[in-house]
Amino acid sequence: MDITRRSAVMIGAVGLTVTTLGALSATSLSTGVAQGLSTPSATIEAAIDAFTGGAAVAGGAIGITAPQIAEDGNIVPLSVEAPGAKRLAIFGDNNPVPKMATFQFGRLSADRQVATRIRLARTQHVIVVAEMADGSFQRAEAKIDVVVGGCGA
Amino acid sequence: MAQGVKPRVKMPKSAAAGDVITIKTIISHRMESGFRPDPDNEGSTIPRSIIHRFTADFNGENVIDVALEPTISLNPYFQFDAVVPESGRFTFTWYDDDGSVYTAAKTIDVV
Repeated sequence: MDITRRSAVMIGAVGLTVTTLGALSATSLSTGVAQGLSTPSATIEAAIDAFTGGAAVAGGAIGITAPQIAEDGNIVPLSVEAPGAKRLAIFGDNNPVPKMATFQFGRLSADRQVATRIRLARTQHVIVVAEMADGSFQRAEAKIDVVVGGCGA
Repeated sequence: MAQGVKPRVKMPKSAAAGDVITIKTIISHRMESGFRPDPDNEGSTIPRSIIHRFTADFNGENVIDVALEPTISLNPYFQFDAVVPESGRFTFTWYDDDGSVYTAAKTIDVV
């Protein structure tokens, strides 16, 4: 079943949205957005759209390996397995800017597996989106609890 | 050229034709994100200065091309796979915001 990009991001962002709405209703609007260094859900949707050109994004074909709890948000190990992908992008939904890296794979790139280390300002969902060989898009996501935030927060 | 920037690459020296090898790369770079408040300048941040691109090529053909954003950790690390069709040379290139370009190269023998 195809999950459209919109519903896939909504499913992923539900946790963030519920928390934000709770804060807004309890306090004035200005205090609710005082925290800074956080990505509103509209911005992450726009960032993913910029990568996919607005195409539908399905789930299930790519994987992400990341710790459930990151002690230090400055160095969070992450690996992505995207067999058959041409391009890959990593996003976070609660960082100062959503996009973290984009990978372009050449013919000799074997399994399209890549590992790196990222900065996370606070607990958030890391979302990876891959453009597959046939031009379709796949996504996977992981929620990472961050104990001490990175990004100079 | 930024100070003390040193690339390191770890990969096998030989392989059979068609083998998939794992390549680990790291470069010492502070990856100043541009988000950290400047202690000497209230209200502004320390300007961004990062490695923004990393590429790996084999015998001139691109294997992986990475665009890095400020949220990649300091000392950017990438581990990835490559299939090795024949003996040759991997070249690795890192591009710094300040215009510097750092390179490393490793040869591999197909036995």
